[in-house]
Amino acid sequence: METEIASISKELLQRSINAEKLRYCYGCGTCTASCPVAKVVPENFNPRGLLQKIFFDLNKTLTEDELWLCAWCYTCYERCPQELKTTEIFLLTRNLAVEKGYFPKQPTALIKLILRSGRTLEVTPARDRKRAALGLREIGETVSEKALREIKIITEKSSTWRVRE
Amino acid sequence: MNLEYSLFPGCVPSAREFSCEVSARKVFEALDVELHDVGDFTCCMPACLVHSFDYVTGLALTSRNFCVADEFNRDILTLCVSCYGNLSRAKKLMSENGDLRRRVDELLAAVGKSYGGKASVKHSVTVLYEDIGIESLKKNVTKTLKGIRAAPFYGCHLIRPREYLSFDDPAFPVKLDELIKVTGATSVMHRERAGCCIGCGSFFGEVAEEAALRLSVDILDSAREAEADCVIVTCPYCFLQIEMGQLLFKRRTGELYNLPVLHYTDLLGLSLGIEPKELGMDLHKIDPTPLLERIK
Repeated sequence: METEIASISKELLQRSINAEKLRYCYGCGTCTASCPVAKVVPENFNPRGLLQKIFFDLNKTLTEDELWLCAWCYTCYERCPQELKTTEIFLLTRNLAVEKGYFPKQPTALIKLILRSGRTLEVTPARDRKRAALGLREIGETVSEKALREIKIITEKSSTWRVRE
Repeated sequence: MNLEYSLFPGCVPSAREFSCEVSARKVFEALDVELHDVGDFTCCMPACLVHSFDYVTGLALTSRNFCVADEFNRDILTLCVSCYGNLSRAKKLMSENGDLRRRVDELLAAVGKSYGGKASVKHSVTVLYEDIGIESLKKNVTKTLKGIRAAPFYGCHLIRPREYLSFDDPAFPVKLDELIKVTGATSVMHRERAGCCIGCGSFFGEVAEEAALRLSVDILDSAREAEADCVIVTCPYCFLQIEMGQLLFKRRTGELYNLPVLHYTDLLGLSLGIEPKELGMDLHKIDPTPLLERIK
């Protein structure tokens, strides 16, 4: 059974997460039972269900918010008795979603902030003054000019990094 | 002792949770450990966000930080568990996957860099446990925190996955407990000790925010059930979630858990005889004063 996820980024998937193993899931639910997100918002996130959707109905899954609810904690990854690289599978599936043009709002805004400042959180002048008052080094609104320039060059060639405008 | 590291600042400590950096700097200074600022580090480019958009480009951005670190002959010390896990993950992928490494190197070549990966990735807690060591820490303790019941909250990326994070057992971690005991405090067993605060996922919309709030309440219940006086974290993200969670919960229900959250370096710092204010503890939003009065 060839899945679409395996065919799209086959080489990357196989080398990074061993896509062969996707079919090893026998639905035991250890992932869902271990998942902190499923524990508190079970109606919105279910890793076992998400894996099965990725496997059987990838295109529809790419459009769904559920894909972005994995909190990257690696609990299911650590516990999966079949050693599926669950957390990494979710990350790669997000890649496919972005490739197809599904940009979730908040992550996209954060990517823009990274391109602008080199950080995921803003350091306003007021915050920097607060740092100084505490005896910490002032760090400015962006990382060093050199670092920022390098980020721009590295991301320039990325076909999926179309959020810069 | 003469230990030196390149400090990886991390977005949360440098832009939001200043007490984390204040506390770590003070404690390492007291232990004669030198932390060097490095001008060209950026965000660690967390996989949950940045690699979600483009795996290879994300990995190149993360790896760029290794190129910067390798300009100095020192290991990296992170203050944030997410930076620690994310950098460790990149290092593992880069060392094991030749194809991925070639692609990343192509991107890095455009800025005149190539991945060397000489520097090891460490976290303030792994440095305290592995590089300095329990025995050495004990010798520096001047004030016992006996009677304080502390609930350890390990933080996901300090212990998971074991595939590339070998610091502790991911299911039954013990090393933060050992570090807590060094101070004379009691480390209490509670169900959520190896849990997740959803810090890394909480910026992905309303459902994620709600999930993060519910989970911090769960962590607080877990600590309260074990009759803990405080929660000890190793990560500024966990710190923010468990502290802010209490304020948000109060706004919603009127009930305040009032359970102080401490960076591990706060606890250690107190036992080294450092004043709470010098550790930045006056910045905490859940007032630790009643707790501090007990150890005077």
